[in-house]
Amino acid sequence: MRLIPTALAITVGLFTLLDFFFDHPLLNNVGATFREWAIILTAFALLLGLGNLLFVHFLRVTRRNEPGTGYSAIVLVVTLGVFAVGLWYTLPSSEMAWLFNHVYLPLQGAFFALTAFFLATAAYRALRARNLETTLMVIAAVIVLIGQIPLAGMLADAREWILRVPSEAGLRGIMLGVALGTLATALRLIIGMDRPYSE
Amino acid sequence: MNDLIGVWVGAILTLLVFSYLLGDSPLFRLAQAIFVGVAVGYAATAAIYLVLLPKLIDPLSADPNRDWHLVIPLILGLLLFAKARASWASLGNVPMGFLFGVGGALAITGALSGVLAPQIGALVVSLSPSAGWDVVISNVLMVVGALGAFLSFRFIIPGKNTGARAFDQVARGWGYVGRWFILIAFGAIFAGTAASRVAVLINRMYYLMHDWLQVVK
Repeated sequence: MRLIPTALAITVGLFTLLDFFFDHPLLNNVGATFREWAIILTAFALLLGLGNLLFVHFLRVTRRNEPGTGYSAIVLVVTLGVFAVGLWYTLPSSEMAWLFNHVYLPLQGAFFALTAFFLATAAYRALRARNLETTLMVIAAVIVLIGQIPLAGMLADAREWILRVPSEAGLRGIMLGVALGTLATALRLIIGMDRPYSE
Repeated sequence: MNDLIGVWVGAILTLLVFSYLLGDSPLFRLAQAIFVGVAVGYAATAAIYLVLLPKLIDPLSADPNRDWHLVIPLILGLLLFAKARASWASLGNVPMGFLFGVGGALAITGALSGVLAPQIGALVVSLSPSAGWDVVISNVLMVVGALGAFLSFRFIIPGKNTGARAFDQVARGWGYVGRWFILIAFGAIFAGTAASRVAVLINRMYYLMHDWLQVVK
């Protein structure tokens, strides 16, 4: 049973790659079809994952003796409620937009805002560290933070230079490393050396 | 009326989240559970109405003779659900193989055309003094820093001959300098993140003060 998924992964991977490198009507068609199918499969995978999450919470509710049973029940009720509204009114609809704007967005914004306090604690810990590398990080952070104030003057220029030269150089090096790592990992997948789908 | 209820709901949920500042409490846990529930419900609805219906079900039911090929992703998608049962899980490996194959190929094309080509291209900079010495120094720093940051991720045991050892020494030294650039980048990212989170915090406070309590104009 391992042969079929491996052969499928290699075949569709190679055709999708060939579509990128060569401009041929047949390859373009096959590549576009595979990408479309992948989007559909991703939606199925998302539903499977969400279903699994609900199943885990359902088990916690039915067992009852586990901690956090009440919160699992809330997750189940809210999920099924939002899903029912979505199925009834479809998407996009004003009802789903109301849920998004008045429930999802305030919660998301508040959770993000909460991290501002944790970042302040982290900054305090970083300021206490005393070596060259941490000092460089703190100086860059302080200049970039203060430099965005309208009255910062020279610090605004320093901020602009830090973002344009040393910070961008560091990020560029990281991105080059990540891209090469991605290439190596993806190539191992496509030639069948790594088979995470068969585990 | 709808908006008024919405503002009250949003304000109460915001306060539930902010209750964490006083310590972990059932109110915060309640907000977490509601957030997960809404996100899951919304994502499931979006998967159905924005992907499965327009790309699969509608074309198949409208003209099955023309879009017969969509039966393949339908079968693969249904096979995916075999993953839910341990004894059938191997059936789900077939659609997973398809997803990994297409995903791997897209990752390669994305890394090549989206990152490697433009980033290497951006490292080809002018060192001509006619552009001004400040520009030349900045460009040199950019190239030295980017290559140094890249070399700092080099974890290779050096060869035994003298040339390989010398190259390793140079690469290590350059990578050490590259770490300084990475840390400056981390500092800048930290500052940017902190500023954006404070902006979101101000937005939430404004929402409470202006939209809900209406004490701020």
